[in-house]
Amino acid sequence: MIYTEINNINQEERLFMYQLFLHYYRGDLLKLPSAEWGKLLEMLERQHSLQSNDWGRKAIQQLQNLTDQALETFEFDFNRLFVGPNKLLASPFESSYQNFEGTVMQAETLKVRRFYYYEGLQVANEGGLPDDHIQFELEFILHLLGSEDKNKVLQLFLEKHLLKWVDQHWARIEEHSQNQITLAFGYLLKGFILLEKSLIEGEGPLC
Amino acid sequence: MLDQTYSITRHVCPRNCYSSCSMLGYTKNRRLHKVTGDPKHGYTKGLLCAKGYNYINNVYHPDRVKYPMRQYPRGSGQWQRISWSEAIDIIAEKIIELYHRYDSHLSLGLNKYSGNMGVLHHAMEGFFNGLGRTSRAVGNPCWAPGMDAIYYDYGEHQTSDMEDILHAETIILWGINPVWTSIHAMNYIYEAQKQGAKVITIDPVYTETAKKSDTFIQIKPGSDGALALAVAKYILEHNLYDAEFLEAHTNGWDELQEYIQPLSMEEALQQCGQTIEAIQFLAERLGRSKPVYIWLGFGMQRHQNGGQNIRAVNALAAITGNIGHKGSGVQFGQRTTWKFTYNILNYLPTDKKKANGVRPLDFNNFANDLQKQQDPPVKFLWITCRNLLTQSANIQQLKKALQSLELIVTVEHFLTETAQYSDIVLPATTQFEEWDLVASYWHHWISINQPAIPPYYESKSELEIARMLSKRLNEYEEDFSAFPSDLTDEEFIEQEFTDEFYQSLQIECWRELLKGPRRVNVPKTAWEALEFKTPSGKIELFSQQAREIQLSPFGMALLDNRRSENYPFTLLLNHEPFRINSQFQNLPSYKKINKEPCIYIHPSLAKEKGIRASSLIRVFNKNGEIVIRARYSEDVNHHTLVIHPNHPLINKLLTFTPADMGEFVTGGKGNALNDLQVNIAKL
Ligand code: SF4
Repeated sequence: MIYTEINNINQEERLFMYQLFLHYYRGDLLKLPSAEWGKLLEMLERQHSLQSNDWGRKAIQQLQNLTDQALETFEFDFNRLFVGPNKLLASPFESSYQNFEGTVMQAETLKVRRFYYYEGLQVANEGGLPDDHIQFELEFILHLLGSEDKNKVLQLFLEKHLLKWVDQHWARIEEHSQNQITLAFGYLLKGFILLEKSLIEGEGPLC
Repeated sequence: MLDQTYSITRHVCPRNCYSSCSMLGYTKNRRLHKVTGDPKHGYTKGLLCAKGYNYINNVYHPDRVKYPMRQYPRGSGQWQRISWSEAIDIIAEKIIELYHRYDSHLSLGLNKYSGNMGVLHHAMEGFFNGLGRTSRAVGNPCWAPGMDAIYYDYGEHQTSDMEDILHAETIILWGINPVWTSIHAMNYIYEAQKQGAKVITIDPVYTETAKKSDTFIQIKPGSDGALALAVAKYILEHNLYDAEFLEAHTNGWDELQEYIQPLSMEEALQQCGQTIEAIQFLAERLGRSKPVYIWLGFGMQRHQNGGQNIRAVNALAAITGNIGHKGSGVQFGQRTTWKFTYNILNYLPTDKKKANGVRPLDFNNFANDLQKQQDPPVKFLWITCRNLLTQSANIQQLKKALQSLELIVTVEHFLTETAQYSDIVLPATTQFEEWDLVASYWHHWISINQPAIPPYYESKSELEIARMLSKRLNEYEEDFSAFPSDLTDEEFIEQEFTDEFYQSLQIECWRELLKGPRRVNVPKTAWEALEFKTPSGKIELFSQQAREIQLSPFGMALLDNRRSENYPFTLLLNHEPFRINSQFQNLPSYKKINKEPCIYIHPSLAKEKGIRASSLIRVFNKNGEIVIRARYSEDVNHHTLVIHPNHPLINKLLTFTPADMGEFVTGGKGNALNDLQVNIAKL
């Protein structure tokens, strides 16, 4: 009973966090007016479980002390890490970590695609965009989180995909980030993933 | 649903490479699954090189440019994603503004080279032509001297079908290393060898090809002409020449005899570093073991006497009657199969007040010309199919010249050093995402390239970009640009063919190329008819045309002694098998093969200089200095050093040293890149 309660709280938080990461990786936050960052921070401060680990606290601390300069250079650093045109410093593709050559659209990407197909989903402009971009994986997770009976698929997808590579991804963010916001989101990711892992290891229901 | 069947599409490798391989793309579920060679290609016969088989890793590289990106300030690494329409707006506005500022389009510059050899990749040149008179990089860093030399001697550029080599008794691979750079040729060479032909490699380096040859002659770099002269003298003195052939098909034999007789054999031997026995051997093979098939590489003409080197070998072949007969000939490069209409280049402004044509900026001396041309200065530069900042000499001057530009746009697959130095980088499609047509400068096959997969992220073809720009300009101002924005890719392809071209391909419609590449119906043996488009109609051993532009009328000459005491070693820049210039650099598995740049040095020289194996050394000349790891190699001689130029390091030592020829055919002199004299010291 107690477990379920905690889990229910987590459930809302999870939804919030996954949504937040989806917006982040889709680049939506690049357009966020500076005044809105305060509101976002307030929302984050209300996520209790996030406050329960060091990484979450560090992330919030970073965002509390945001400078104007950090806001100005956020986009450049975001692009350096995830978009290019330079060599991606923290590639957002699963295959960059799982494929021997780091090449996208290989067997690793197809495995992700199969998950989507299984759920009747398909990436828009399939073939032009690798299916294993973190943005699509997050969107897929959100889709699963939205239905009560997708627990097993979600757990499987997390174990077989996102959780398999996200640590390496985050390590690269920490190594290469030159901006408070990208670093804060790196910490957030790290902190959140720790929570996800303990949730899965705690073998409770995921949805 | 996952589709279980592949669709198979035809592609061409558009790189600057002898083979221009036709390839098959296997696509399933909008994903390119694998790439193989096309067995219907009569020259490459279904095989690719390692680079070709690796295309998947190139196409699906995570670091490909994905969106139009803008950088401010230039070189800062602060990139912003912009939409295509923003990018096109910025560019179009600049073009219009500059036109009004200078009342001409000369402030617009284009620098395009061979990163993609496809016909539709002429789109940007076509677009520039459609504006009026603009500035353009003109010339060629690769084969300019040789092309002129061939032109002076034969009047045209032809090669034989590679099958022709099977008729040869003797094969001379002169400064070419096909095992590394033209792998498909090796099957033909091996086959000829099996049938009894003897293969002789002449090269300053004991190459992989040399190792597979029957004889290797290690020549001093750049002394090919001296070697040819020594052999010609021997041939003359021992009556090994083909008098009948000379009489019927050459012009200037008497003059040439007169010219070479007094030249010193000893000096020639000393210059090329050979013994008289080697000369005798070559002379006898040329005179007695005919037909002799000679293949000339591109390195030997990248010297100050590069064109002369080629003319010298041409003369040698002519003297011994080794031209026009099956299994003979001097093979260098050809243009006879490039029978496209090039309509894509010919949409000129209808407004008669607008001047046409180009203001040339020397390709090999680009930095200098950018600075020199000030009326008006170039303010806008479009770079495509080209990595200007790694593949040029005088990099510091070039960077300085680029500073005065107001807008630099680069079209690319990856963020090259050049793209890093641009204001806008536009993502380009690969040959798996676009239409194109490709011919070869070596063999005689034409292949079509069709799209297999959707463009990666927001990338677009050059042609699409040209159309978009033209459309936007005409929205601003009617008839501003004559480049058609309403023709489809396929319509552009259609326009590249004439009935005559169809006939020589034995097809009725270009779509038949989708069933397989076609051979252009040119003679299988170059100069088979022994008719030459020279002023005399014969092979010109004495060229009045050359003389008229202050060149020696003869191909053969001794070298000026130009070895400097301060820089006594020649540094050669030889290609290696896994890259083409700056292309294919960023594939992880290739990076493992060559972890870091190195210089090959003979152990005896290393010992003399106190250089230990695998230690870092200084390489320097009057232009600059580099630090690079030394590797011992007995494949080079004591005075020769080799670097595989798959990194921009070497540019610090390079400047523009004009070769003797190149202007006639390519519009500018070649760069004598292999006349790089340096010194070395241990660190
Ligand atoms: S690089 Fe040359 S040999 Fe290799 S696939 Fe391309 S055209 Fe063929």
